[in-house]
Amino acid sequence: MRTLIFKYLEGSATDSEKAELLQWLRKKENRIVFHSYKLEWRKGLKNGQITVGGEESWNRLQEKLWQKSYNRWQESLKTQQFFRYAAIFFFALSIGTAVWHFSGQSSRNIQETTTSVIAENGQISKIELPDGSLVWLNSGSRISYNNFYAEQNRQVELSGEAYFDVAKNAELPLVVNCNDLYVRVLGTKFNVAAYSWEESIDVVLEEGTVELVNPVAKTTFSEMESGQRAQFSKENSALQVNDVNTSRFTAWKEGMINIYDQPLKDVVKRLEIRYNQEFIYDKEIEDFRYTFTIENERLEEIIRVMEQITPVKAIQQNDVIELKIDEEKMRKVDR
Amino acid sequence: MFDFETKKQLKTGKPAAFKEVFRLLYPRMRGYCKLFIADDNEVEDVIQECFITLWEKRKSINPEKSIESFIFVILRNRCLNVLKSKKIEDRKVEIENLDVNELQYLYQLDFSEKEEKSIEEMLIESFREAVDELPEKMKQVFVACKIQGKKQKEVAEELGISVKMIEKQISKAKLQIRDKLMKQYPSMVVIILLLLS
Repeated sequence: MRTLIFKYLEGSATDSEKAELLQWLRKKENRIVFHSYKLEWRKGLKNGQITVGGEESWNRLQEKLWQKSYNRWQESLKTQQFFRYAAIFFFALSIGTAVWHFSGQSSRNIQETTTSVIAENGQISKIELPDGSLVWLNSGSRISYNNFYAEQNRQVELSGEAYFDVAKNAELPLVVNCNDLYVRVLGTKFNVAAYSWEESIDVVLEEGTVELVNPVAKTTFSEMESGQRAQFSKENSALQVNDVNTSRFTAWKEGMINIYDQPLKDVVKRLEIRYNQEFIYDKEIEDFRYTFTIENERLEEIIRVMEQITPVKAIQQNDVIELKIDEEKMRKVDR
Repeated sequence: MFDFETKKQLKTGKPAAFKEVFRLLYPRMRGYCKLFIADDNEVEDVIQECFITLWEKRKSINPEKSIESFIFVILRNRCLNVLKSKKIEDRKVEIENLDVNELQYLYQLDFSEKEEKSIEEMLIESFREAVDELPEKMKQVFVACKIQGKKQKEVAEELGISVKMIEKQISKAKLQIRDKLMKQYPSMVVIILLLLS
């Protein structure tokens, strides 16, 4: 029986031998014997020895298991890669969401605040806006922008005169709001004079292009080219464009004042803001026209010039200078 | 047959223990498969699959219980599955009585230390169940053609439907039976693991 059992364990027993073993094993008392023979067989095997035919099967099994774990490793690499990409994707997404969220929040929760810069009479201010654009603000002028400037908008409100050197940003055009006219630019140098008391808004373009936009209809009045001056009539929206020597209109930022064919009433305003001096004048002289340039002259010198080129007389009354028609000179002219 | 230490080592994934199990069980597992499957390559595949399953499920091994009975359940189910898929393709499916190969009881006594249901009985049983679950019309066609072995033309005339319809019903029935038969296996594995752990 021992030999038979060994043959069975080795897989070399014939069917009839197996049948014999089955009959024998069906008797319960033989099972313990069978078990001890099994252990004996196992002990008798050389270490690591695999029965005939089993060697090949074992190698194949090793290969399959290796292949499986390799595939799994590859799978896990793919999964890792997937998760890596997924992570990057979600990171980008979350940043996007955060930016969207916070920017959305900022417009909801952060109060809009406005910054205003004022150049007092007698002063010229130079301002750097948050986007790096430079603004020279003429005397008696005010420029305002809100706290979203350079993030969500590039809008400035202007009353008075300013010279802009605008930093380029193709996505966010800079808009100068002069109430009756918007000046829209991407990046250029230009001068805007929008004094509330003047009949027209004056835009002089030194470099690049600007668009003049109707603030109500949001339509473009005109596209200016460099070297042009546009005078926009507040009264009838008429636009007059001509070529000019731009430096005449931008020189004020260097401290010069160019008066070019302007009525006395406008000249006086200019002088008031430039020299911080109050004037009063007679109605009959308000349309006298002047053309001159002021650089560093004192106010007295300018008034003397005015007295020379037109029949006016200046009288100092306390803090105010009164401009009157010079009867004597008028008589001379009449003669 | 395997000492506690070997089983513990197998559980923790020691290749030496795995090889020990393989070399001691391979000849008998082969002998068992040969009782039902004639083709040597098919037998080889079944055994390989068994050991792969053993390796993959090694963590659920209980060192206090027999590895032989653990792997024997896997082996028997593998063989059963092969027989099932063969059977369903047979021209006539014998589900009344099959010749039971007596020698399998030797392996049962060896591996599980008790005599259990023969693989043939299990095969017939699961077939019967699967056939019983077919929809009435499909079942009628399947029983007539595949179990009683009647000619398709005969059955078509009997039931008053076209031969094409018969073919369609049979292939549908086959799919459904196969589905049912093969689904038994994974659930069994779970039960086995629960019982052994």
